Amino acid sequence: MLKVPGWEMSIVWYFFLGGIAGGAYFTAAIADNFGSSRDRAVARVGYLLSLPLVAVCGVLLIVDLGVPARFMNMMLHFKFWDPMSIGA
Amino acid sequence: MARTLAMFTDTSLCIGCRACQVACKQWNELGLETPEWTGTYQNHAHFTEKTFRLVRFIEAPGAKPNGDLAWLLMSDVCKHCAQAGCLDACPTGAIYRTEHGTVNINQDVCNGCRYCVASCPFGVVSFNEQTGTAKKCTFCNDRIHNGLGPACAKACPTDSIQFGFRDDLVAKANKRVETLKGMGFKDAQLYGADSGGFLGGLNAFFLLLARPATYNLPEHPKLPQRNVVVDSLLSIGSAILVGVGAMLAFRARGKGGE
Repeated sequence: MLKVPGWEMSIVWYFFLGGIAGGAYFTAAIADNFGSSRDRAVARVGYLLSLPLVAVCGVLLIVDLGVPARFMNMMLHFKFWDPMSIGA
Repeated sequence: MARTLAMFTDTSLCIGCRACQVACKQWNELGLETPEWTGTYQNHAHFTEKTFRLVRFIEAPGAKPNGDLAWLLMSDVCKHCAQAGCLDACPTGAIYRTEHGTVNINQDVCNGCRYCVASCPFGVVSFNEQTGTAKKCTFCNDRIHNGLGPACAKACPTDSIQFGFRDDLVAKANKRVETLKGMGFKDAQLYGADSGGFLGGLNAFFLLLARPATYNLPEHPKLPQRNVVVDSLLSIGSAILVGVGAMLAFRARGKGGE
């Protein structure tokens, strides 16, 4: 990478919150399926936390675009070799 | 596809007048920028969203045939790679390949995600804050579709920048390298002319008088996408590891609690 793309705080927050959302859901699913009745609370918090955080992540990513109104353009294409396309 | 068009920049003929840079700015209406002091006549240090052609001024000790310091000049531009990192990265489809083999950004589709900026192996693509889109050399798309060559090639007074069909230009360039070698420039070489070489060949290729590294060009540029499969597998692998760990932890707790 030769040039800095200028992804700043919104992208940092996206990765932070996205990581928490993914991890929470993953842990909750495992607690739900393999844990005992004592782990119910873990599962519930995990499930409840993940969806709103993912929604926040989406907003952060759209706001970071140069032209946020055109974010739908990313949904119209799919490139399996392109991480951002897969993400969209 | 029509015959591939190309630009051949013969740096041995460049006199550093920067007419190409000015012509590019005028034709593409790129506007003024605050000058940058780079220590030489070069302005700016890198491509910007308003500088698509950039004459690089390089001092290279010992690059002259008699061992003296050489003032190397190179009119740098987007290479319009046959395997383009920006084109592969663009998630909106705004970056496309024209029927002439050049790579262009559709300014009406680009939504400014800046993935192409990070993916260019040469650091060409730049982000424009005003329009919120990515910008780079268009190979004067409007001109080449109307029978004119790119503005920079038209303006070049020494024919350092030549425009034409790629196969013709490669043949011409090979002859020129032989001539220069005969004159004692033993490091004279083509950069990106070989379509079997790196990135499938560059549609804007160069004749260099020294090794590419002297011109701050990568010797073997690679597509960033080559890492995708390995890195994806590594993430999946670590997810499985974490998952198994969590599973065992909850299992043990479940048993202990009952």
